Amino acid sequence: MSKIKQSKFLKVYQSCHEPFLRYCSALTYGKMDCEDLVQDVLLAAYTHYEKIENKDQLLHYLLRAARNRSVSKFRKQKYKATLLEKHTKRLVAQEVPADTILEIQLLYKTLDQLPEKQKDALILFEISGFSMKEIAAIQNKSEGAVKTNISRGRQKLKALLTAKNEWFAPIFGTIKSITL
Amino acid sequence: MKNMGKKYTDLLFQKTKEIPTEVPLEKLEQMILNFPIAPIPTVESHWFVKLFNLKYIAMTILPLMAVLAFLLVPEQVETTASFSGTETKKIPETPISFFEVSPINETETLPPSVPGSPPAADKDTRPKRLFQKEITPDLPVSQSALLDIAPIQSQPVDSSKLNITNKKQEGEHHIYPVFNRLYPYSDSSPVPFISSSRLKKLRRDLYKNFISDGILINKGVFVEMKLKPDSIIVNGHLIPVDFYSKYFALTSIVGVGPDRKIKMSRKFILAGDFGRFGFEGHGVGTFKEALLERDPELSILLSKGEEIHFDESTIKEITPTRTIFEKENDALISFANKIQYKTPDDSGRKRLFTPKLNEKKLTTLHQELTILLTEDNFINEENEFAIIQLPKNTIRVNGQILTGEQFEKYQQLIRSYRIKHGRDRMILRSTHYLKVGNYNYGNFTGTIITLPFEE
Repeated sequence: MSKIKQSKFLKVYQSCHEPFLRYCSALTYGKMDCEDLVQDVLLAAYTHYEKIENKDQLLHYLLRAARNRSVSKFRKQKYKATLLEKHTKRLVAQEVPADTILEIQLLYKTLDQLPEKQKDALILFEISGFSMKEIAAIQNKSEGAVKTNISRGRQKLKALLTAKNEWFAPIFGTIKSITL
Repeated sequence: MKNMGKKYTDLLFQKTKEIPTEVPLEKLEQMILNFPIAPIPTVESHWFVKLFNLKYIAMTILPLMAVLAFLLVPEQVETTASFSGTETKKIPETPISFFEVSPINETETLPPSVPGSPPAADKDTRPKRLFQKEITPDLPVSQSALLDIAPIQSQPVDSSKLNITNKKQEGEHHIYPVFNRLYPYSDSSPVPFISSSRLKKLRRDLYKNFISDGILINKGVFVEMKLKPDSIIVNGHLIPVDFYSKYFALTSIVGVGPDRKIKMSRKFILAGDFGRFGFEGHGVGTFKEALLERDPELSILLSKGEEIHFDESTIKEITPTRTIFEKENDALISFANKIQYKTPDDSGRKRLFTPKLNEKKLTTLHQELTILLTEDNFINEENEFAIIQLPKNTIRVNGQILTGEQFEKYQQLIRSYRIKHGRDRMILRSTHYLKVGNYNYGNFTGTIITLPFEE
């Protein structure tokens, strides 16, 4: 019986994997091990799988659970060097170029400086690839509110990145020259 | 890297999207397959631990202690005066006056002046400033109604927190607390000084209480309040007995008198004597013009200096209209729900902003709609409700789609009030209500007008 449940859960989860993982990566960057969070959420979802009425909306459930856990566990934590290393190592293992890793890490760090609402909406829209309507459904908000959050988030992000550029530019240049 | 604007942000997002996920799917699949097959056992704690945890202690022991403390503290002497009786006949219309009672013992149950009371034994002769209701002999209240009188309240009444309830004891006893008035001795008290802020507060409190008690429907109504020594009359209606004490307390700052009145509207408040020589008192707001327009009595007083006799025969008890309105609103909502359920249509944009219509525009829209709907037989004596749905390029009245000239007619009217079509956009109309905005199964955002109730 439970084997059937496992296979069912796995089947449904496969379609959720990519957006869910991308969201978790952005959410946990430097503060918590992404794998720990994913495991935690997946176990909870698996345990309560029967109770989830609309199985098609497992992704929504996972995202919400991940966000709630992130809020309760590590929102106010500072960056941990070991976790940053872990993140880099994992991506390197998957043959992601070093400059891309650095750029992604810069993006994640900058995203963390945004207000929670804007950060959340931006990650879901830009990184996980959800539509505005889907984000509105996940966050229980109107499409207008989501649109506003995304727009404002983008503006702030742009400003922060521009400011950081002056500081990061020489480093990027060095890395590029090394990789080339 | 040179362009750090929008393009760079997009590029970063694009790169983030393109990279493989931090934890590969295969690894997670393995993780899921290793999840426990049997349900995860929950730790059962001992019943004692379950019962006496911190939450339990906080939720039960503390309230219990509070109750015990309340019970064990020696009971303070009750000082609330009340009349109770076995019959509850027309006390509301009873004229009530205040007078000073002769020195009275706190434990004494009834002053000797009240007819039908048992003789009081061992009177305490300590002077005590107390006021009692005098009930005239022609009262429609039985003598037994006056037997039990609780001790009298000696503390001043906090008018803002005052909430008198009509308590019923065995045999439907009514309890009427008696309050100390500022000027209870004479028929007329001098006009007291009332500051602007207190006047504003008084107006706010009065409107709030009038509306909550169903005496007024909204704050737009002009109010004339007569503060006579034995009664309060609002717009020619005697205040119901249940609310007497409350309004006496609320208006105690103004005092009483044969000419003592409070006149107020949204724009002003006047409190004082409206006598034969004009107005003597205090006021706040733009009242002069407003009064001349709306209050013929004062305009005559101002111009001629003559006294106008108010016909007491017109006084009648106010019937609370709130319930009537609530019923109508409920019926309108259930009708709208039915219509929406039968004809679901979510075409068109979801409008974030509802049309801005002021009171005047809503009133005229209600009138014009009533005429149109009656002409087209959408409303009649049997059905007073009309639900006008406005999805994209369609007008649906009570579920019926309008076409041709009829459509144009309604479209023109709606356009003239700048009401746009949209998803959930609706106009709900009943005899006393007009709601314009977005409506979705009971959830309404928009503008509502409640039209005055006409008897």
